[in-house]
Amino acid sequence: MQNRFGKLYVLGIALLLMLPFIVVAGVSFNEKKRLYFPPRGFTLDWYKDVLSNSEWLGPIGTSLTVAAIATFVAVCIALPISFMMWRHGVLFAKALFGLGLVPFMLPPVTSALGFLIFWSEIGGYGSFWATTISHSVFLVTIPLMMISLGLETIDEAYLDAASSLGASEAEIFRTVILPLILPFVFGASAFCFVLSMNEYIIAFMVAGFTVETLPIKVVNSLRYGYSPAMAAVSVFVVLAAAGLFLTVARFGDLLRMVGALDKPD
Amino acid sequence: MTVQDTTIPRPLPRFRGVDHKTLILIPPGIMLLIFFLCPFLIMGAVSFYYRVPDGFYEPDFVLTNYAAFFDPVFLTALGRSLTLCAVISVVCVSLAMPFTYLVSQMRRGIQVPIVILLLCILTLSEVILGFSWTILLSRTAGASNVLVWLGILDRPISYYPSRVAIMIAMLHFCFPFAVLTIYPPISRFDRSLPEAAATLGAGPIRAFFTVVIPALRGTIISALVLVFVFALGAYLFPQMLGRPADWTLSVLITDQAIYKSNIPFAAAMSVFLCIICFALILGVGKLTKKTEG
Amino acid sequence: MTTLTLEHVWKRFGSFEALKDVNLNLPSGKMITFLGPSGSGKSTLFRLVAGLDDASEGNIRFDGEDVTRHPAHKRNVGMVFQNYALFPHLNVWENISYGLKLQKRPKAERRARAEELLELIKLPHIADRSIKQLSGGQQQRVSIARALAKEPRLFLLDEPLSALDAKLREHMQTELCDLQQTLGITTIVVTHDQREAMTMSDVVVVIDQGEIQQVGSPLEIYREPATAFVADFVGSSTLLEGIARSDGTFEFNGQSLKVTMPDWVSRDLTPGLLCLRPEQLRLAQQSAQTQNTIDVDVSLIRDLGSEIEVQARAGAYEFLVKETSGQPLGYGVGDKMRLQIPETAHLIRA
Repeated sequence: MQNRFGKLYVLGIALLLMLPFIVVAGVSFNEKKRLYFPPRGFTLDWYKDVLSNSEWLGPIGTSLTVAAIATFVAVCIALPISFMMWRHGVLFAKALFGLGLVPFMLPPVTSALGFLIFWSEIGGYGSFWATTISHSVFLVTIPLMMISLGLETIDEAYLDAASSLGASEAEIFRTVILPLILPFVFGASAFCFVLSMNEYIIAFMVAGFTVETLPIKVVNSLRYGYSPAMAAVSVFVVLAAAGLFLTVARFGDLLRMVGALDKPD
Repeated sequence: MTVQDTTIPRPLPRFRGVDHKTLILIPPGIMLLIFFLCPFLIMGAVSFYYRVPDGFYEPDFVLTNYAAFFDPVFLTALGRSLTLCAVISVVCVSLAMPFTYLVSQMRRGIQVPIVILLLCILTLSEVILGFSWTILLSRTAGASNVLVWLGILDRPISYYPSRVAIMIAMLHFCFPFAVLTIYPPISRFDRSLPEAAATLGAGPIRAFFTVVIPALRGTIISALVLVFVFALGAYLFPQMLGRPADWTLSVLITDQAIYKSNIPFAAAMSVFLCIICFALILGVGKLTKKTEG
Repeated sequence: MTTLTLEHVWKRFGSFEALKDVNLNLPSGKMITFLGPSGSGKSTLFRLVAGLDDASEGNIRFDGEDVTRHPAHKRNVGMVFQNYALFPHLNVWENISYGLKLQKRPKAERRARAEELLELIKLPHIADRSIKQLSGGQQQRVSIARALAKEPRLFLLDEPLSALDAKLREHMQTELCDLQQTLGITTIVVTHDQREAMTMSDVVVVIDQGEIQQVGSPLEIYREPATAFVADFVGSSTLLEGIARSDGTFEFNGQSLKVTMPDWVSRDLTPGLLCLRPEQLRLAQQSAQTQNTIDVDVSLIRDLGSEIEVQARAGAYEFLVKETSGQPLGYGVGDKMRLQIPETAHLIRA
């Protein structure tokens, strides 16, 4: 199927997938506070507006903090589990791995409701930590899967070699395993970070009225009418995501990270 | 007995045991058990609690929350959700199969940007995507302007709220998920099969349908189920692009929990949804294991 | 210079016995090969020596020192792996000096040692290359340099040449031998290739089904195989089943063949296997008056240029004869001939 028709098909779908972003980027340049496409007039004021207005900067800051902490915690949970499962085949690690995959097997609404009930029972409802910890356990699937993929690419002979050269278990981990899975850890972190930045329903149900993350802010302001500023925010978010994934692809094998087999060009 | 004791050599005690190392699993174990397993267990319990009218809930064991499923509002929402997600799943996988197959044959320099595009859409969540689609389907900035310009329409119109709008947005959202689900097995797919078909006289398209698709049957079935479950999670699109009559199960759950303060009923629906998803995913896991050995 | 001693070493995986009561005493400063087919236990034995696996029972000693309970990183052995196992995240010199870095030696010293080893393996000037830029042969040498960096007590190589192409393999064989002789380090090579074992080693340890079959010089292994397995695995041979008599004859198929009796034939009617190597055998015409012969039918003749391989049959036995005289054979396929059995043929305990 690698013919002209095939290429056209791929190109067509890729364009359709990008279409909403093109339009959103377009309307963000409108001069007046109306959303036209193609834009009428051209201005970058909406971007300046977003970057100087605390109405937007507040939620952006909240989201960045939540995402950074949640990502860090998720990776810290996932790394020992994946490692113990891979290196020592510990049964408890396998069980935790299975548990960690559950969030992505279920509609997020169910997890969100679970978190809502849990946090109101133990008294953390509406707090910053309720949002952050909920995000970290919800997103743990990503580092679990990606770090495990990374570990599987490590040839066991590397470990034997390090061992014969005088490295203890801890030194093997520090000098061989960690450097080799670092791209995967980085990739998983980027993925987690962007997902947390954009996550709406859990943040909304756990602390939606007190901890205003960026997605909550966007949805709330949609109720009061549209403005090109929201398009500008969206453009920022899309660019941030694309930039992060590009960086990941530069430093690691992105195709391998999403589970594809490595093929030489 | 005593003879055995002397003849069976005593194994050396392990000096490279892993026991003390498993301690490192305690912190992540605690995190997952407390902050993930507990919420689900409590939610399960709450689904049997008694709802105090106009208030919260109190511990009890009643089945009224589950009995409320027979409410026609719930049943129609359920039926609508399942049909919508089934359609989305079938369309997504049908489009994604040839797309992924073609992409996986392309140069790395093309594959990487496409994967980045897919990851962006997948991670952007419904907020930004929903917002984008409301613009794209709107009267002032939407696709209808193009149709006017082409002379097909007299004046621009808005395409939402409507069920078609929900479907378009959900297709856009679920397509990357479908591709990334089938990408790993397709990239491992043995290329010599279609090549063998080509030597036997099958054209590329024919080889795709007669060799590639049947060989990846298990992948397709599991992709259908995974995309279906993924689509069931859509929550904002039905609200942003549809009318209350188009709301799906996910929306009903939040509606009950947040705005109607009926948490036990929301929990019951949520448990029900979990069971459906678990059953589907475990079922298809068994099925594909059986067919693919 | 280290002697390696194994005493009653067993290795079990569940109920499977990978190694059964292995006893070995290997001399220091020699080139030693562990030879055996895949699944024979040679790699298991090798991993036990390296400390990568634990013995189920028994002791392993380096120079008499019991190292059984020392894990690999405390044994100071240098290993070369089948696929080289060079760390992909380190460049050439960082790979070579990895072990020294763990010992926290200063960078200048590590660098100097790496340069010195690169000289030794005849690859100067590649210190800063990445592993991906190296050819298979270069990777092989770098992994040798890495293994030698810490002046290990034992130098262990696991099928080191199997990933190289035939020409490079022969070249590396000689180079490895030279290197071993220069350094005088006790070296163990695991291989399944009997030619490699024969050409490279001072001592060959033949292993099959978890048991040591024979330990000896290549020539001993070839000329005087201790078991039927060794005779069959090392070189080609025909084994005649029969009975050794105290009068110095070997009874086979109702015929009496005169052979030199080894020491172990202590009594009359001892069952034995007569090992016949192709180059020991001659074919003679039926008319020739010869003793110690077996009547055979010529079944196949293959001219290899430098020599002619002749296959001959007698009942269920098949013999391979090598004619190297370069003169016309004087017989063809289907001819009835007499196979001459030399008195020096080796007798194996059945």
